Amino acid sequence: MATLIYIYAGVLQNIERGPGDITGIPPGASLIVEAPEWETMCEQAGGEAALIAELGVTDRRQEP
Amino acid sequence: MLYLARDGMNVIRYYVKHTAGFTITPVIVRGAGAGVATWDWGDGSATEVGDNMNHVYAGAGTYTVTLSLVNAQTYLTSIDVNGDCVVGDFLGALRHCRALTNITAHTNAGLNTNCATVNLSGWWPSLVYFYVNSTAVSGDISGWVLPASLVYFHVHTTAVSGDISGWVLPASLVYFYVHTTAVSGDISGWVLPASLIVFLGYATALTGAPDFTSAVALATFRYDNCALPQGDVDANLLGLYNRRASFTNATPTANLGGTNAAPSGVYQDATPPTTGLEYKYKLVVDPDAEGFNKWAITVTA
Repeated sequence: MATLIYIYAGVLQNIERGPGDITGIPPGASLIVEAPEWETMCEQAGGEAALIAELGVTDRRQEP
Repeated sequence: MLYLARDGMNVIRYYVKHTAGFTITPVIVRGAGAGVATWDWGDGSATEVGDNMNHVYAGAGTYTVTLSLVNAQTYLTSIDVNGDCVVGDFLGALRHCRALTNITAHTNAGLNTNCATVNLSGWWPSLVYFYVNSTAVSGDISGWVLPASLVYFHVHTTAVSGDISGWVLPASLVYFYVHTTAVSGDISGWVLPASLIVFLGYATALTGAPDFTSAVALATFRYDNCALPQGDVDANLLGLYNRRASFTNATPTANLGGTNAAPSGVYQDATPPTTGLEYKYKLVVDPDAEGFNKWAITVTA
């Protein structure tokens, strides 16, 4: 199971997908990354909170 | 393993167990009324009074926690046995607490309630929040009636089983999560309520497609790693597609992938769409510029 992280309509979201799955993300998405790439971006930005602040998005990954 | 005191309904006893010294942090909430909650930790230490506790056990072992309340069946409205130390039939121990609105028992691998004996709506007619996460909870839950008051329902990694196709989702339900491979049934007769935001039927033997007509608030629809045949995957995508203009969440997601079958057909320029991949494509891309909120959708390739 891999996690895909994306930004659409100013909202940071994630979606789980397994081997062989195909995922359709709305074409207006401004960022689509796999979880490891996201972690790298966070490290480069000085942490996840810093990256989210830099992106200026609402994080709804943990919301039900 | 776990038992109620013979003298009535004001005492709740359950076991805690660990191989090393450990801490438990039970939290209860009482309704209106006088009285105090008294805890006997079962390790020889002095009893304590309070609703939000933190008790450290010096050594390994199994201990009986005895919670005494005034009119527990009336006043106890919430209990959270946070941690991984609770063992035994915890749900059964709470069966006389008719006023309970919140039950939380998470990451407790030792819970071994036989859910076939649990009368969900009968024991807790005012239940709002129900969360159980344990590999040892078992039993047939096909006969459960979800209380009309229920808002949050979460049953995870348990050994429960049964055909739940006859369940009716309460009108107030916001969050529904069932993650257990032995639960089965065709849910085509289910009507997702207007309040529902999250539906998670992950790694179950459920089949069919629910009725999305009322589910305007739906934001997360996860029905992956089940055994959905192609027709059911198509039916779910069609259900979302048919109601596309009614969903209010700006960034809804659906996951029908994993061990489910792939949706059928192709998606190029068919009008009207007739196959599963077309529905997926149109929900994601909105090629006709209808202006509905687009979905992020995962399906099996």
